[in-house]
Amino acid sequence: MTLMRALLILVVCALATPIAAQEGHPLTGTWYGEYEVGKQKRDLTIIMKWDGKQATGTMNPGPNAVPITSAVLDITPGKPAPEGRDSTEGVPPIFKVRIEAGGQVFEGTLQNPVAGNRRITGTWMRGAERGTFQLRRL
Amino acid sequence: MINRLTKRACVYGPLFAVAIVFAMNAEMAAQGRGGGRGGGAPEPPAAPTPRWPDGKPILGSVPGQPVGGWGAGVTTLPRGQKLEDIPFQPWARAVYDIRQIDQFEPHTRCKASGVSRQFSTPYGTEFVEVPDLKRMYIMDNGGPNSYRIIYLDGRSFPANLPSTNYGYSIGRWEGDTLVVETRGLNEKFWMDTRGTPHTAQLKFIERFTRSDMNTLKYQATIDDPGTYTKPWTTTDFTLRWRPGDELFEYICQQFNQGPELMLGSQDEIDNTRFFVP
Repeated sequence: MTLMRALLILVVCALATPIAAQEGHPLTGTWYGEYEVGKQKRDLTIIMKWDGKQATGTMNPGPNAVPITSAVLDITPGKPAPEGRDSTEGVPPIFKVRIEAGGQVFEGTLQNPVAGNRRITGTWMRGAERGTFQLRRL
Repeated sequence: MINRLTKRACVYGPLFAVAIVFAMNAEMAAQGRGGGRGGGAPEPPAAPTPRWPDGKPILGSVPGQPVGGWGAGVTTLPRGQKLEDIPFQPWARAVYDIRQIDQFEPHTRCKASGVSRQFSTPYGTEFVEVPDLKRMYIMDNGGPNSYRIIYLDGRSFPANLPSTNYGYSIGRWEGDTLVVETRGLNEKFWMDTRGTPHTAQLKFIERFTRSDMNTLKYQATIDDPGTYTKPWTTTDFTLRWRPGDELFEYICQQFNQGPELMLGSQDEIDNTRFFVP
């Protein structure tokens, strides 16, 4: 019972730590989701931080953590709304993401890049293996 | 139906026309008495900058006079400058652009928003100076209804500052201008209503100059190597004194019913996220 309680507290703490939203660089934060291997879904956690020049971080923190070797944004600029028109008529920029860690490459699109519930969805590959993945920022 | 409307128009139409003419005459008469913008006498000059016994300008209310506050004066930090001249890193420019479309600002969700965002609330901002304690409080009414402390006792920044919404502000006087540097800011808020981005590497330097009783000049320098390729400085913003403007209780809460007021034309809020940011 005590062990269960301790585990519960650990889980709650682990969940609570990264929930603070941030409004800085779009990749910064803790991302949680899954990637598909065949018909199986596997958990995926990625933590990234922007140092001003590059994003660094870790995939699946813990005993089997894998350092991120590259995390880059490829941005297609948007277009503001014409003068006098509603701002929502502007064309938003598109944020493409490419993350490499442990020989695995994740390529996807950042959705809602300035909202709290931003997501990355796309495909991953390692050699001949490939599948889809999705991450949402905690 | 049409006949009935025609009859009503015939009966009430002349009365309506007379009412309009009467109202126009009244308006013109009021302007002739100096009630209009164009025809009246100019406003009397503002009183000079109030000062403490040691000669330093008083930035808030004057002891012995009614309490007052400063009206909102900062809109968007790049105001008056070409966006091409703001040294955005590429990601930051894209984030700025998308925030012009997606205006879901943390302040509209009751999040405390520091530095220049304190001077954008429609209910004004109050400066409370406590010379004996060598500090000043900047209280922004509206939103989270919170305050920032400016230390004026000559201290240095502590090592290992935690990152917070208001950061850690230290002020010093340069002539009649109070220069305030703030560090230890987190990334949970926008610096202005239009989403000029920043990171936790931000050092924010503000210059406050009360040029007369009713005018406070405000300028900021944004030094954030995480977001910009070099530091940059805003143009001057002007805050106006509002005598009698007192702080009042303001309750900011989630699930308010005025999203169109707070988010402009963005009429939907995505609440699919489990944790509200």
